[in-house]
Amino acid sequence: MRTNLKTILLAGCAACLTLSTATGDELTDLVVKKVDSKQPTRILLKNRFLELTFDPARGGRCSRLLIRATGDQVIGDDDVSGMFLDHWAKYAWPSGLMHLPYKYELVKDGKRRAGVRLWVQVPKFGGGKGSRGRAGSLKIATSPDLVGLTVRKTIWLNSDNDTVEVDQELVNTTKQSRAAALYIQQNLAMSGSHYSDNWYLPSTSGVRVNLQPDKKGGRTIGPDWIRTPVAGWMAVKDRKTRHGMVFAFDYNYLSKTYTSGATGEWFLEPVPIGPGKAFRTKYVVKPVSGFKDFVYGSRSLVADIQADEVGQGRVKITHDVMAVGRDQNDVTVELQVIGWKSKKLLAAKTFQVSRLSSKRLQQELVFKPPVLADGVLISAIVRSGKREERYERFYAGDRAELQARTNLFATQGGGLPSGRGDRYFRPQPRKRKQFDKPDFTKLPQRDSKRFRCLVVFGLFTHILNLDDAVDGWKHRDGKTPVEFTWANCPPNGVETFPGTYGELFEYDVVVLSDVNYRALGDVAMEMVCDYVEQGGSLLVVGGPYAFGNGEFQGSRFLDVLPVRLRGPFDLKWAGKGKSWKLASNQPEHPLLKGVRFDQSPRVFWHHFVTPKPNATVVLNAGPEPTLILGRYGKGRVATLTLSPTGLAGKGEVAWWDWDGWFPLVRNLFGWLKKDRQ
Amino acid sequence: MRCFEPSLRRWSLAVMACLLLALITTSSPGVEVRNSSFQEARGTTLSAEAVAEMRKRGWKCPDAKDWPHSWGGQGSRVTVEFPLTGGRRNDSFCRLSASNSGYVNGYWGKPFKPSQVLTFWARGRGTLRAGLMAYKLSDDHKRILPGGRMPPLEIQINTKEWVRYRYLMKKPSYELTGHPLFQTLKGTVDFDDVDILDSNPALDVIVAEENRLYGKNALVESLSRAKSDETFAARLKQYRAAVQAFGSAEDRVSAHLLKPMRQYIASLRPYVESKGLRTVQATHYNEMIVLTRVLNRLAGKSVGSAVALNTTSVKDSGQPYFPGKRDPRPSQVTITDVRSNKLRYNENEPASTTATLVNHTAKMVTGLVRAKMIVDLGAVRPLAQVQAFTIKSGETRKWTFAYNVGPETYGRAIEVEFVDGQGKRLDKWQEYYAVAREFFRVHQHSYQVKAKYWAEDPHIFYFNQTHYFAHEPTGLGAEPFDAEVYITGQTGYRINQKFRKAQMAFNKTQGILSTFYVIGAFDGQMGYEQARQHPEFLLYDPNGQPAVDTLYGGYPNPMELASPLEVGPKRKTMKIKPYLDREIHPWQHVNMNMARKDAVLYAINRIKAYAKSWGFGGVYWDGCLGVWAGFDHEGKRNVPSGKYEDYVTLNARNHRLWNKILKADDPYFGTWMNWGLEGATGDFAKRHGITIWRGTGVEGDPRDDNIRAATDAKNVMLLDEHQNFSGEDYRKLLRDRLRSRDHYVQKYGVSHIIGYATPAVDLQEPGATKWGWPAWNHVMSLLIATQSHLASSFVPSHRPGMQFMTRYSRFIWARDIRAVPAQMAGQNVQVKSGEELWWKRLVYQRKTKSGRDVIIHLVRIPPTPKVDYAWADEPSLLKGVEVTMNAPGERLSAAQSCRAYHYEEPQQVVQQDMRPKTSGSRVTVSVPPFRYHTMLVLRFTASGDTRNR
Repeated sequence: MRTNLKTILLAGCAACLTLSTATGDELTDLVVKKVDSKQPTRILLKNRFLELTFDPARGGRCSRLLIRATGDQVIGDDDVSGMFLDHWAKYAWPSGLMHLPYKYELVKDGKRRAGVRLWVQVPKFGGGKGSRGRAGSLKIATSPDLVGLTVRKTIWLNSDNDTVEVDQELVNTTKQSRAAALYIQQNLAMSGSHYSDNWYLPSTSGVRVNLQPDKKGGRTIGPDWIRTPVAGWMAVKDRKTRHGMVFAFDYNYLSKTYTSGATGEWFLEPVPIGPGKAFRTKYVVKPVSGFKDFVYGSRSLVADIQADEVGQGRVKITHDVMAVGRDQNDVTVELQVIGWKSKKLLAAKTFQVSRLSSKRLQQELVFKPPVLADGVLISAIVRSGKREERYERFYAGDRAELQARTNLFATQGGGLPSGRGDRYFRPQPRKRKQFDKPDFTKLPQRDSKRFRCLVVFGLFTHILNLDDAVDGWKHRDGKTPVEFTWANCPPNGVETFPGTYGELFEYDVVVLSDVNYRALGDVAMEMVCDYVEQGGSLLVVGGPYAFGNGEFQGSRFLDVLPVRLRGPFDLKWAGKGKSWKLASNQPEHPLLKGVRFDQSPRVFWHHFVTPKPNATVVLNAGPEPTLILGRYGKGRVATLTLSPTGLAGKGEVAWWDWDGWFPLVRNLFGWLKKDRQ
Repeated sequence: MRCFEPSLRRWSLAVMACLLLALITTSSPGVEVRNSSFQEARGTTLSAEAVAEMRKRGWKCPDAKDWPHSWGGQGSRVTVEFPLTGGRRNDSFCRLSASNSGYVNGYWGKPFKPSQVLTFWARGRGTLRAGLMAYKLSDDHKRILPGGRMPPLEIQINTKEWVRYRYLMKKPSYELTGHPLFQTLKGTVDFDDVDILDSNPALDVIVAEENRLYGKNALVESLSRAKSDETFAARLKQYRAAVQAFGSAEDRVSAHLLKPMRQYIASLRPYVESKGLRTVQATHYNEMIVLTRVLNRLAGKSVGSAVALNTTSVKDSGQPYFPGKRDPRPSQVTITDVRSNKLRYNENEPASTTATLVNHTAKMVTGLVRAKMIVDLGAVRPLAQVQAFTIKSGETRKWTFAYNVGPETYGRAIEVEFVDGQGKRLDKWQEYYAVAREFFRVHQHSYQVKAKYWAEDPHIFYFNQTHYFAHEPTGLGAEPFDAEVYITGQTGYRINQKFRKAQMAFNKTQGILSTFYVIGAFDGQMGYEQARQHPEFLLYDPNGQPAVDTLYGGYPNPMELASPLEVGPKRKTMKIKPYLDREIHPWQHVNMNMARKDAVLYAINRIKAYAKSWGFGGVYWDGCLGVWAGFDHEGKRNVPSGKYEDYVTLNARNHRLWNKILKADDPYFGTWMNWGLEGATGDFAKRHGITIWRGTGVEGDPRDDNIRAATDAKNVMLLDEHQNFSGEDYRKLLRDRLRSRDHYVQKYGVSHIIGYATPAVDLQEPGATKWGWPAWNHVMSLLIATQSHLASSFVPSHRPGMQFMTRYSRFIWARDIRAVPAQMAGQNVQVKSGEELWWKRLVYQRKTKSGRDVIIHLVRIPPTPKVDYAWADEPSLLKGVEVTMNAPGERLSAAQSCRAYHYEEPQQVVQQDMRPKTSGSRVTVSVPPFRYHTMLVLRFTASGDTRNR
């Protein structure tokens, strides 16, 4: 994922050379060729299952896709029809990309894999926000942050299966750091139109279904947007033919999903991309047939779980599964039924499948739930070799299913936040990102004449008075005042944060004051970690949402900190009328220069943490370390586990009111800035 | 709970306990189409993107935030509005303009039964198409199949008044579901109150017939009400004949039609057969016409083609009506006003009252003006007099007299009379007020802003206690502050402290005490500062973060919360760090861990200090001080066992502390809580695992420690949060009120209030129903008879009841008024009446020094089963009622009947002496005529055997 542009271009050239001989050749069951010498050029990509026609001049879209087994032409004739359409996630549909002429090349990967690569370098006009009409769209000036980027996609077919594989890339072919995100659109017409199509969208409340009407004038049922998806797939099925398509993409960069009823769209999260670097992701498109619904999709599986009341209080579960891509051998399918409220295992059964292929297989399980109205969670665990995939479906009886399916509006239980307590709810799994990052060495150098500090401002940060502490104080012998940038950070989402590495790396110090993981999100957290690793300085301060209370479990941030966290509720209270004395075992430490303890600063609340072996403890609150210094990569990290909470007793001086606090802040800032001199 | 912003602003002084509002607004019992009246939460269904898409398709429609939930649109080029007022209940409705290419739809989505009836109300001018957006289902109802269809109803609308339409939809040969849809093909049509009802064979026939008659001038389609004129009488005669024919031919009618048809006949009866009926609602008129044809047809008679109908519209009397105002009488001396300086006094408090006398005779008049106080049942205390009081012709003179209100708690009348030189009384007039330091005993909550017919004057409304809903800088832990103008926590009101202080001070001079709102959660700028100082008081989620409030939710916004409280002009001169110069948009809440005693003590002591600093007379806790389940700051469950008993014990402890501390200095410091039986014990609390009310001592919640602790003090009131009486079954209302009376008032001795209810009628105009006079007076009768207080914004139709409550609070709300068990009442009291009355469970008694008072409420049973503000006819006076009581060993010393004034009467309570007839131990009184309710007080003196009391 960290291949730089040079490598990509070299690989591209190699592929071109290879294909110069492949063009026009028909391998066994696999063809990729330019099919029309006249303008506009079209590319045919086909195997014995599928036949795709690409139109490079129109955003590099696929304008025809024939499923040979069924004879279905799944792309309509509308001016906006097509598959593998690129758009910018920052704009509502459309972006100008879909009108731009894409360059192309035919590529081959051995004898069994061939494809077409299409790309465009975003021009100054017509490459950003767009309009439906091509002519008008091309006149719209492209937003400067997008100009010069390269959008590239490679669509692959294999000779031995009907899965389409797509490598999607966003290459920063500029000299600046950029942060951008695409969304991918599939504008289909299953069985000739979007009528009678069902779209399947995984959400925190299960797989939501968007039901298209049977004919014009009818009404759509179900959601269009899923703003908190829980998995990287979506699917469509025509109710009449039961033919459909499953799209499986990377959940870790997924922002939201959408269907207009005719389209499947997934929006990616913006990621910073350094000059010459690329963000790459893959997705697959799998034609399917015979599924009633879909409960899961991935690059290796597509599956459905149906439940049905069959009388006498019994429920019959049927699990349909097929392989995506290559066949799989020696597969184990385990079905489990767990009471939603009771959490008890109600039924389980394991099935051995010797070969899982593109042929749909079905397993069944019948059980008798004690109280079906309470709901059951039906899970499937599919193991193949070392790989294991799990998915689930909530079921509370046929009537509840009908209600859910015909629920036109997402209002059920919406009145009260607590309403979700009774209903199926699946939290969004943590996203794990690994995106192509800029060449940090080539990022612009910080301005050595400035001292810039980004304060991510969590709850009670104002008590710290960081700006007052350094007011009038100038680093480097009075030459460099601290310039603050404040990023308001409610615990459910920071309001502003640098969009690119370049921006972030301009800061000499970043302060995370009472900031939790959820507030920053995956990308910003990763950026902060990189920032420190690459030599940035970080100050982490405590509070109700910080350290162990900050939901950092399993995150890279734990490596950055010079302390080990002890999990939730690490914020300890000295007790009513009690406090800890803030003191140091290293009074000569440079950070304590000019810091007096005559006032006996008191601490009421602080996080109990464990310093890592190489960390330096500068201050203690009572016996516990509270100001701990460390390093991560090239950067410096200071953790102040004090929380500016609590109330000083009579005669007590709270640490934030202590006359040593401001000198300590100055020293800390000085230490954090030190390497920058 | 979040209330609708306009309501909050409008009723800023009203009782606004909103804990259960969300519950109420998310479900309307008995209505199958969601948000059928368009008035529930807006902005929850359509996304901004969806609306943007619609607009791209030519829709002219509100922003997503202004769409009523569960309503959407399909197609293109539709103009739709959802005005907030002017609907059937002066609430929201949908206004749809002509479009052939799109429609508006609601949500129903149920499996279609053999037949369904789409109902809605419409007005305007145009062609409306209404029907079902149909979806064919597979036989197992699991899949939607192609081909679902339901033909629509197409009707011409031409009326300025709301008219009900119904449409019969028969199930096709396949399974079906769908949603209601509306399309205006021509003109502009308003519609409201949409529903899709289950039908039955009888209704099928009725609605099918009705559908055949639409647009043929055979039904009332241009008026909402018609006069009961000769045409109606003739049609009624035909109807009666049809009913008779049907009755005679029942053997020809299939069984599945017979029973429901009888039910429809019965349900229509009050609306067309009520004695003295003067006004017929179009709905019922039409039902009668339709039933006439249906019944005749079933009886085997020919019905012929539709007959044109000529109706007479109902005209308002044209007489203006001013509540609380008495005009000078022509050519007479009139006491136009008797106004005391307060609406509520403490016992033995000095008072002054001013009478206004107007001489509209041609001569100067001299006479005696005197004033007296009437307490209890009629005890009179002379207050003042002036022997030679002279009023010139045309002059208005005021006479002010001072006195002491005396020791008696509860209401009294101040009566002023003017007697001429010959001893002839030229006029007398009464006004009423309450005396009770324990002010919840006499609590009257009926605030209103001015309207066309009245001024903003609490004396008109008998309003004697005000409440500030969520007006403080935080919901918990408020403390004195210096901001002149601030934004409140939770609601985001902009409050001017100086103005409110002046308002409270003024109210205090009127005897109106103020209470403030708290809740078990910190919110707003001040609340989060308290939370900062005391994290140990917070409730936590399993992740160690402050618990997201179960009901209120919301995350803190650090910079907003760190911003100064002051948002008024003073802020401009303040030195504020630019990045903290933010105004709060509050909706953050962090719950208190009420399992911690020190937290509870903190909360209560802050409340006490805050109340003292402002001069509040009491406090309202939205919910109660029970314990919410969660984690403490150490990560331990706050009620480790999770056991019911432990919650009850803690809940009770908290309320003991609450009363002990808050009432230590002033036992009459008012405490009220949102603790209605429905909320505390209903499905809502159970479903959401709400633990705070555990220990209410009702079915399923057997221990009563909590409620006992909360009510073991003076001046405690519990609120049953109730938003609307409209459409509520009167009998259910009576049952529920009696349940609360027996539990809260009788068993635990507290005051009990129901509300805050919307008046649900047009404030500006009396209309045909005179501000819902009949229905509201029936409701008020029930509340009086069940010891309930009412919290509602005022409409004139409340006033008779409010005035009655004020005057006779001694006999309604006093702690010593004990309900007589129905069985005992039935044994000792007989009521002879020409019609059934509600009374058996409405008999009370109180001990007196010499015996006892027996208080019997006689309540007329409303003509309609449900509260119907559209019902225009007042009941005729009920005459000839006799009440006999068996009271061996007792002597009846007084028998009085007391009732509220009727619309056409002077605005005074009516108290009449009843002359008893005695026969052995039985005394019989003849009850003076009454219209809605009368309260009989029989005063007995013990003189021997009292075994049967």
